[in-house]
Amino acid sequence: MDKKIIAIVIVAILIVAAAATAIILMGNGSQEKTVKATGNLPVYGNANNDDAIDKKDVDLMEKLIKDSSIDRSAYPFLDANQDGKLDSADVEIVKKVINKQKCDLYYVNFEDKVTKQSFPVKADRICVNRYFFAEAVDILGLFDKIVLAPKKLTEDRSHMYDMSHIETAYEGGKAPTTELILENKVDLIIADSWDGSVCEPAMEADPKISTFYVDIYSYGNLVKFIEIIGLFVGANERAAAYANFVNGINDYIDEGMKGLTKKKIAITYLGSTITAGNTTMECAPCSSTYLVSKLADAYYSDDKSSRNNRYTVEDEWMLKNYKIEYDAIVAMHEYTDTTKVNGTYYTPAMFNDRCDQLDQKYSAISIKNDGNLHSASFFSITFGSYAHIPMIAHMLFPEKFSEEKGWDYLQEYWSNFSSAKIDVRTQGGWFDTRA
Amino acid sequence: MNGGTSITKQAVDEWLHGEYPELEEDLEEYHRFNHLKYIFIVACVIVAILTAGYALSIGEYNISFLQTYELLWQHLTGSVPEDMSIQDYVVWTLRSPRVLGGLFAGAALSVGGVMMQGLLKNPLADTYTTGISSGASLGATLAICAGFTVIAGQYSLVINAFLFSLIPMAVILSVSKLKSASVTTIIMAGIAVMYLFNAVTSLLKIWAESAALSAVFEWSVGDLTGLKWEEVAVMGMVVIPGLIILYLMSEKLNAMTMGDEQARSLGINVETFRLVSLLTTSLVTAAVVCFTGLIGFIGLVCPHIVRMFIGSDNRLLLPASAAFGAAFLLICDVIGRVIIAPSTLQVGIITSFIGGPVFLYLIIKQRRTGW
Repeated sequence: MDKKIIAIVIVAILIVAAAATAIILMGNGSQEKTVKATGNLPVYGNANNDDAIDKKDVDLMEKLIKDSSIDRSAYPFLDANQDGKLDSADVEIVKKVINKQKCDLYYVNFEDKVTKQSFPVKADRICVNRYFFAEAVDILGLFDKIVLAPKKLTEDRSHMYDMSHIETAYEGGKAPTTELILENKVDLIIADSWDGSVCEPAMEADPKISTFYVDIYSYGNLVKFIEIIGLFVGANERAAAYANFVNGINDYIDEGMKGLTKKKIAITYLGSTITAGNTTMECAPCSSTYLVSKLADAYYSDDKSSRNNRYTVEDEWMLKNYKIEYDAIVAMHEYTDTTKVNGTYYTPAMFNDRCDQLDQKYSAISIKNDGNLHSASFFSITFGSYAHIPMIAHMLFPEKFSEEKGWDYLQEYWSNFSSAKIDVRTQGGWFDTRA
Repeated sequence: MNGGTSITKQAVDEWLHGEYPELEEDLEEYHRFNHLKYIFIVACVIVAILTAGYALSIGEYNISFLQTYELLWQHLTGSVPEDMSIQDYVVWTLRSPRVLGGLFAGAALSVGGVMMQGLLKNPLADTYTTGISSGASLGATLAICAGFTVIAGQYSLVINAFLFSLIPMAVILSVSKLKSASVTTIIMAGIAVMYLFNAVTSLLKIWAESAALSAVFEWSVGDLTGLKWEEVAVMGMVVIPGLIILYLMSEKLNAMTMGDEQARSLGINVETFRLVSLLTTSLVTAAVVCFTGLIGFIGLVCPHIVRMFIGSDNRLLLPASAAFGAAFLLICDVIGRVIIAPSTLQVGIITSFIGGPVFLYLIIKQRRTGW
């Protein structure tokens, strides 16, 4: 009898272990992603696959309709009405978009699925369910249309923005409830990719509500969301300006990297406190590793022990593997860029203090003296992340990329794409400014 | 074999028809005591109904109490005005399934606690401490995080949760067969299984994609938000017949609490009874847990509170616990919705905040008398 019991218990444990193993072997289903900061308007009707729906698309479509011998494989977004063929009906839709007339459009969403959305989208009362979606809305010039937002925005960022137009603030940093969305008569929601259970019922209750889901872990390709939303809300020009800004940074990096070899780096993540004992690294396919992929190869390990591919190692590993697995560290400090401290901005001096602490963490090796220990504010999943890259470039290749340009690009972002007027050299903790 | 029932009936008949001088007085007191128990059950049902009625009328969307019921009536009669479609949606599609689901969940979890405590003869037993909820939790997490379901289809989540809840049940049954197993041993086996399953669930969470992780976290806290009519229907289809079956077994459960030998002598097939009742309890629990997540303390605290009023006769304890559990869970949900409005605290957090101190109080109050 005892043996039988032991057998049953063992079988039970084996079943559980097998299930867990199966899950591990199946992996997390993530696919290799590539950085694509331009050509990010996957909307059907964008015939030439650039960053706008305009007369050029009409011209191309008419040309292709007239001459069916032309190879169409280079134009994946011809079929504007998704009826399986290219004809005058598709051209009519594109003309309606140009004239801002009502029609149905189809676009490829964050899950790479074709999604139908009525055009244009009303954006008079906006709900954002993460504070950095407010950045996206700000880029499109619609910040003053936000009426429902989390307190992470309204309280923690009260020093940055005038938020008198926000009617309701809710606790927590994630989605509000469906009832709150309906009560605030929201017409546009910018939501996380996993907030469907809140947004879908709201849209079902009030079909006038539109939702755009943003996958914030979209591996450096946040430009796509700006362009798509910009098209639908009639902020094409601002979206195009943002895309041009990002393209400009890409071109700057490409030009400077000519003849240079990419470095091997470890991108580390630091929270509100710098802890001893462990180091958390961001591995591919995190956004940060892709953002710097033109400059450096970030350390990557198959042995992922955390979601979103953050890999935690003991500090001993970091000390042991300097100049073996990585040649430089780019440390990302969260909660330093625009964080409110004593009612105003985090300061460069405070950031430098953090850098001093970080030096201590790796004082056993020569990385600091070699000039290979760098610090920057968190640049992984925010819409301003691209603006950090020129300064990262300067840190890694000081002879080719100037510090001045690094500051200029960051300032350009805050001056041209945000209603928060920040002088980045004196407000916020962005980069190590110690001599 | 009806020997047991006949013996009991014989004894009762002898007492009833005997000529004892205190018979009338004893009978009067017995009926009065019983009436109090029925009054308690009715009171619980009334509280549950009133709470449900209030819960339907509160929320971030501003709808008055009277308008709520007007809308409900209009929906049921198909006469909702067009300009009230959003309010109708809020009341019928958002709030009503939540309230009804809360009633089912509270009743099911509370009765589950009664059954576990009776079968295992342990006051600490409920579907949570015996690992059954954790098993169901793992099954649901596998379905959510990895799409791993034993059987595909519309009800794959429920079936997954149920099948995985059987594993801790099997472990408990096996351990209970050990000759040297005390009630403490059995409950500790359940706790060990609970820790194992929670560890595997945590492992899955570590590797889960953000979207799945968010869903699993919400689910692991225990929440009635977002319950849909389809889910409540599945819950109802399992919980209602399950509770009826368990109620029909309540008389035999009384015999089981006296011990296996005594139960056998009254004609009960102890192994079959234990298996059937644990299976039914697991299924009822799984049908709730896979939609609401882990809501703690209902199965532990509610039966003990009800025993203070009803006693340990399972024929009354089961329906009383069902009514009390339903009311208790719904009250906790209302508190969660009101306390930091317009944000909501998940009901699992509220039940833990309330249940913990209440349970401690019960332990202290009853330390001499046991349970």
